[in-house]
Amino acid sequence: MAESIILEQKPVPGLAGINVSRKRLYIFPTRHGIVFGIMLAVMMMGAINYTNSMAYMLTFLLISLFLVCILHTYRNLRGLIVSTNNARSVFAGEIAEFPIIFDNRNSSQRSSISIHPWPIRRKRRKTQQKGVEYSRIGMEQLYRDVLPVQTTNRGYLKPERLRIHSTFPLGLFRAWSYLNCKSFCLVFPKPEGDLKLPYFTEYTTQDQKGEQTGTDDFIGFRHYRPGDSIRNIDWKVLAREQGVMVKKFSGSGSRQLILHWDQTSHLEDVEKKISQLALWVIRAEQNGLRYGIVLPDIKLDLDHGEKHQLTCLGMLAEYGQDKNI
Amino acid sequence: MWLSAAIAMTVLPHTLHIPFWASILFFGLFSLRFILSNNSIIKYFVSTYFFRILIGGIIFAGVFTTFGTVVGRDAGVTLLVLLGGLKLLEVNSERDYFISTYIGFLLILTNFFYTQTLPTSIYMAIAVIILIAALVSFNDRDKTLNLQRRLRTASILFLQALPLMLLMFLLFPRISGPLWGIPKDALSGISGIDDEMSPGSISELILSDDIAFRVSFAENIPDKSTLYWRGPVLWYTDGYKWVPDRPKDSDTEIITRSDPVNYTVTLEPTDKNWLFSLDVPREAPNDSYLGHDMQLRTRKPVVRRIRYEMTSYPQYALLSNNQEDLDNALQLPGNYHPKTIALARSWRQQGLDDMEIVQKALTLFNEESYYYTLIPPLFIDDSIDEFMFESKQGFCEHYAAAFTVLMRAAGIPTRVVTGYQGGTVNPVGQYLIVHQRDAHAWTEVWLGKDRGWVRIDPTSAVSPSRVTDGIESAIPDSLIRVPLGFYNNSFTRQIWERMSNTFDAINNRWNQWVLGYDRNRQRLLLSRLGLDLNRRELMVGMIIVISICMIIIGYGLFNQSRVSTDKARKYYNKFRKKLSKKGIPIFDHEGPQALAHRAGRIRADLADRIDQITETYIQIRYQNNLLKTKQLISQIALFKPKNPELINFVAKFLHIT
Repeated sequence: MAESIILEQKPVPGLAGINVSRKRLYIFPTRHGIVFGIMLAVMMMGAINYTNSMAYMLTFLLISLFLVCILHTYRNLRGLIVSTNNARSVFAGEIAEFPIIFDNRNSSQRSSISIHPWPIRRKRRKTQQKGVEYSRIGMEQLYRDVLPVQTTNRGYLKPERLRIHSTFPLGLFRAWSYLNCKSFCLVFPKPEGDLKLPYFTEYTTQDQKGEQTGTDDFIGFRHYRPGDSIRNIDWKVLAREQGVMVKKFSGSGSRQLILHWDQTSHLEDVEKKISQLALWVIRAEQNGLRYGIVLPDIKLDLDHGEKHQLTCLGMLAEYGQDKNI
Repeated sequence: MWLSAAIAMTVLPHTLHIPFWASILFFGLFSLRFILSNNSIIKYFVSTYFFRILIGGIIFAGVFTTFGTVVGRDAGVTLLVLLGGLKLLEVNSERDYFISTYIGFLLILTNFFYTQTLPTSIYMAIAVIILIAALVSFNDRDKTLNLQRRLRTASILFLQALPLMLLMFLLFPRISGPLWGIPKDALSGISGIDDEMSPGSISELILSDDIAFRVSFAENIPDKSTLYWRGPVLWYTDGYKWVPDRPKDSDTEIITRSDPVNYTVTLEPTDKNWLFSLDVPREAPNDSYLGHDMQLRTRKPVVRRIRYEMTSYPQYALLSNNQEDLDNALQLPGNYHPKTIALARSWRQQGLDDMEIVQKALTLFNEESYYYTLIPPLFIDDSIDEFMFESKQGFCEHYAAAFTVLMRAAGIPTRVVTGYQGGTVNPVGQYLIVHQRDAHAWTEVWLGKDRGWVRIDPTSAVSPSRVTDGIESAIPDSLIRVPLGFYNNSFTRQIWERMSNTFDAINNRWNQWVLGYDRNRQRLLLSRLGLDLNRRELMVGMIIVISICMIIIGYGLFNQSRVSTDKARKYYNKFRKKLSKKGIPIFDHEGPQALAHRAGRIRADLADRIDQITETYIQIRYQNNLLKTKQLISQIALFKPKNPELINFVAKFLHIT
């Protein structure tokens, strides 16, 4: 779900056809700006005390600079359109990369803008900000980037709130705005655990015939299609540079595995159970099995392939989580 | 890099007045910063806490031993310069960078406490721009801007701040007088009449445009030739220097022979113990007293601008019969000025009386080839004799001193009076401005019990216009300083004079309107605009005007045209212009492809190249392929088709043959 905001300006009609909501832009002196202000006060007193015209002049110049700097810093963010999108799923502990697009096609150049997660709760700010890289943008037109966010737990990761800010050009003022980010990243559980893959059973089902790739008897080759198990690729053929061929087996039988919640019953912690299951899912896929999952309140039928694996992992990631996003 | 350049630039003018060792130390620290990038061991040493403490200690100790204090203007500035140098060495964090920049700004400010001339101000404006550029380049975190762009950003900021600055400068309510005591050494640079006089001490002041005091008269401004502003009276000489008597109570009887003149003096700080009054006052204003030689003395030095009301009597007689004073007024150093003394004695031996001797001396100055000059030759041994008999060129202090010596040698009690003569009438404010260049020295001779002390101004015998028209008219044209090489040719000389006149006029305006802009001038300016505002109204007015100005600047800033940054479009437009010159009409409604198609039909010979350019442009524009911008620019630059007329001509030619 892509979402876009425009900072403190009326949306220009006909802009890429996306819903652009308007966000308020805030501005306040930085620490250095405050010190600068104190310096100005000192200079002012010096100028008055010595009744020195040029000292007045310089002080007023710097005060004016201070004021003009407000406008420039404000302008640096004003009218910028920022869009975020959902990040590809990653495993817990990895870095989620949220696509982010700065659309500046309708305005002049901006410099040194940074954006990072800014949770509303102050305590979480520090932990969240860790591992987040400051992204710096000198831009002219359309600029794509990714916002890296460190993940810790499985489930839905929402940056909650992003803060986009800039102190350009003088560093005396900081202009900022918040994006209440609705984009999310479904974080898969970290695949880990000590248990071996449960024994799989071999079924012989009459239904599976023909093109269905089974696991029994080798019946021939066909070209690789996305989703095919790596294990079925005939590497020798590939080595002979005859293309990526997949070995076909007769569909009379396949190795099947149901990964059941109860199989992890010795693990106390739910997260550990889920991690174990995730590991099994990956193993099962690697071994070219047909597998399914049974969780306490949900189950997934037997299948295999990359898409199935993602569905399984997604189900594990979502397990027990609030789905209302 | 920017920062270092800016700091060095701001320190440079300071080297003129900070101690020599401080300049050396600063540039030592400064160059260390550049050497350091190569040598890692020293770099480590420099980055240690110990090093900073060490250098900091040296700085404080040095300043303290030189000035005896670490506060005050000179010591403070030296400290600031050196701390700036030290800070440059350890610019690691964001904070260090900002602090260094702020030190730079403070260095510029403090420089204005020494000099405020127009060239200095221009120089400092450049320094400010570079400091701004330093801040810009620091805040441009990824260094995406090139040098030109940083300077441009800084200049834009500077130029946008300028109108605001001017408004604040004009409208900010001025407070007259200091908020607190000015540190003592703040006045060390000011020039003014001293209570010692030696050859050259007054002519030095002539070059100063500083204002000594302003006078507003209750009635009309008296005639210029009567405007003798009495300062220190000098009694004793060692043959070179003249010094005053110790303060004594007055026993002089003042006979007034004219109406009183009432006036108010606004005296600029002098850091000295006396006031100036029109000859002669009868009573001293508050906090001061009138001495036996009619000098107004104060108990404390005048360290801030003060105002006092006075009443003087231009026609007077000072009757005094104090034998001690008369003896003192005959003092001459032994074995000095033999020729001068001999001359005076010869007059006495001719049987002339006091009045005749005075006349004789004045006639001598008037009729013989004595010159009134700002730059007299250097006197080596006996300044009076050399002046009297050899060079015959001198300034008022030479004439006053020589005259006094002549009179004393002839047995006439004489004293030197220093102060100012004349002044410039300010037609706008109807008040008199007395500048330092109006400094003057004259004498008073005692002509018996009945006439008392009578003012004799020997300078007026040489150069009467000095007294009647002021100092400007008295300096001969030939003595206006003309640089070597401009002398010979009258044309170059003319140019030089015009240049120096123009420069002087600009400088004068600068002094009057910028440096001299104070509460009175502010009030004057506002009253010309028909405004009569008190301080609070002025403040509110200023805020309103500045807000309006900010809105205008903001409006301009937020509505910048986007075309300016779109390179591809800019060059594509150039391409369209090129096409139109080659006889292909351009329609605004036409897209690039349609244009290319039509142009290709009109000029089949160019079709391929037009298509290429259009293709590149479309890729940039509609496929967001910005990397191709350079290609587009070069393609368009190379697109220089021949004129259609030429082609037609060639075609016709071919057809004919």
